[in-house]
Amino acid sequence: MKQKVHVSTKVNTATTLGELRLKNPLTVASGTYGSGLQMADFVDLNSLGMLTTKGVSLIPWAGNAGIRMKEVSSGMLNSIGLQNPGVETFIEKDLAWLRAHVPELPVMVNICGHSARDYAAVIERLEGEPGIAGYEVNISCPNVSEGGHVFGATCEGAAEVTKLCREKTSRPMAVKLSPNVGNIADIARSVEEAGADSISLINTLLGTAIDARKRSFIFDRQFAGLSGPAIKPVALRMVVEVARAVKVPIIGMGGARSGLDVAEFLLAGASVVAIGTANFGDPLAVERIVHELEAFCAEEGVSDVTELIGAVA
Amino acid sequence: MCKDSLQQASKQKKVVCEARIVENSAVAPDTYALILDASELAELVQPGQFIELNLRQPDLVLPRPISAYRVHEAGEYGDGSYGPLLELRYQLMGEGTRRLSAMPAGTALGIFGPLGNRWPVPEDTKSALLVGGGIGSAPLAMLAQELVDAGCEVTMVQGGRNSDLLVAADLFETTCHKHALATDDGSKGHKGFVTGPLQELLEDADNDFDIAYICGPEPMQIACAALCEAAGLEAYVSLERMMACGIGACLTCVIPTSKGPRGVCCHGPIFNSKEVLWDEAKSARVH
Repeated sequence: MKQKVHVSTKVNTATTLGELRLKNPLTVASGTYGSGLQMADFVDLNSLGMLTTKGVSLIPWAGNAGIRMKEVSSGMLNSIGLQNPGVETFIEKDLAWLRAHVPELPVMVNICGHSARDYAAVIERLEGEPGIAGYEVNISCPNVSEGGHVFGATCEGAAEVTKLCREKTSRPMAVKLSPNVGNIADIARSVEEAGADSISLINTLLGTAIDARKRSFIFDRQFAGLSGPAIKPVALRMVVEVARAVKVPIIGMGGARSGLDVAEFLLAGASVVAIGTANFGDPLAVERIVHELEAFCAEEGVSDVTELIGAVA
Repeated sequence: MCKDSLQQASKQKKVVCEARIVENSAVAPDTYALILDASELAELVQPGQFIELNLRQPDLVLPRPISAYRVHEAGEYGDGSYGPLLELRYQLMGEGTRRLSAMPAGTALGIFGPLGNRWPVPEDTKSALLVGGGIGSAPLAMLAQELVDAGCEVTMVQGGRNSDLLVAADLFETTCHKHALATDDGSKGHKGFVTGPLQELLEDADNDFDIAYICGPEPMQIACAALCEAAGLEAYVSLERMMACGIGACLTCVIPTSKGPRGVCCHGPIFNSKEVLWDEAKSARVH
């Protein structure tokens, strides 16, 4: 039985993600924080253990037409479609800004593409650029027709993209998985075997919304991605399944919005936890959650957050 | 004359804080006045900007973006004991605003802002035309006051479904030099759309407007902007889209413009009417 100790217990929040050393186990879910600079008027970006950027593609993507978001009970559906200005603008504006303003912050650049070659080409372009701690390869966006989820849906597709990207870089590389698959553990194993250094999960759950009075879909693309507290139980279950299947570290995400939620993801087997939808309601969410996690650890007599990783009995 | 242009707002200091409700009362059917004790934000906010309100409801994950209506200077409100207060006007639109409307004074909310750009006021503006529809008149109130204070001639044309829904008509009547009204049912002013009195004002050779500012339902904004453009008058509109972050991170509220896709939250909400690609923007209208 664990001994309850006084809250003044000194808690070490530092953790690692493979070879990356992070000052705390918190990052942000890609697409909820821009490339960081949009948030900088509101929050000290150095409060993050690691920054994960919005998806970057080889050429600019316009994103989806029509309504892009609908709030639902305890969550939201989005159909953004990975709108981004492309890798050249990203390097010129966003990456340059990050290097100049938060040089110490580990930056994981999220990569998206329409084909396996696209993904690899983005990484190839970024390889010479300093200020990048690693890549997160997004093979799981449900909101684009080609690429995205197409690769994440099968072991072969997931392995193909991972392998091509692996050939282009020796930097740490995470692969982000879709929950919209039959057996996520199988996909995780394929990705690990193909050279991923870590695995991110989960991307959004595929959902839809219907306007009953108009008898029509809310979204032009009909289906959209569900995020927020509504998906937390599914995300936790999948982190447990993947943690049992692979040896590489896991970046867990899906509806976490408190220190307690983060502790649950760590216990489930994640080494790092991403905050997503919670950033929208409160730009200072990550800062608050780090403090809550520290308080939780202190209360539970946990002197080092890494003790929690995979420790669910 | 006065003040900043579109760019300046982006360099403005931002605040994330807790704010208590000082007053939250119905001022018209389905329309509420919300006064917040948020002095720092009240001192920063510019005409046309908005703030995000986190209602602290566990099942509503997103904040609500609402435009600033007016600022009460320190000591101006109630018994005079308050610092600067920020007043918003909102209409019941869905579950969030319904719950907000039930919150008593003293309730603590999370707020952040000021967000978005402000109504641009070019250096040499001497005569301005303001056009408001329904709750869309509220984001014009601070602008009207600012323009009048700067010695500008201000004409307000205001429309609503009926006389009850001419939001803040008393304030505009007091503030503005000219105030024209239109109601769908004819219960006050011109019977019909706001475009009726707007057309007359634009045709009247005595008027020499430098700029027009339009806020209201999107079809009304389109119609009014078209009339202004036809009269050779530069028009600015304030747009609304479903929004999550409010600060340019999530790309939910993006609209097509002649300059490419633009975030209503961060590049707007105010746009030059000629830049908005209205037809392409139509499918993502909020209402």
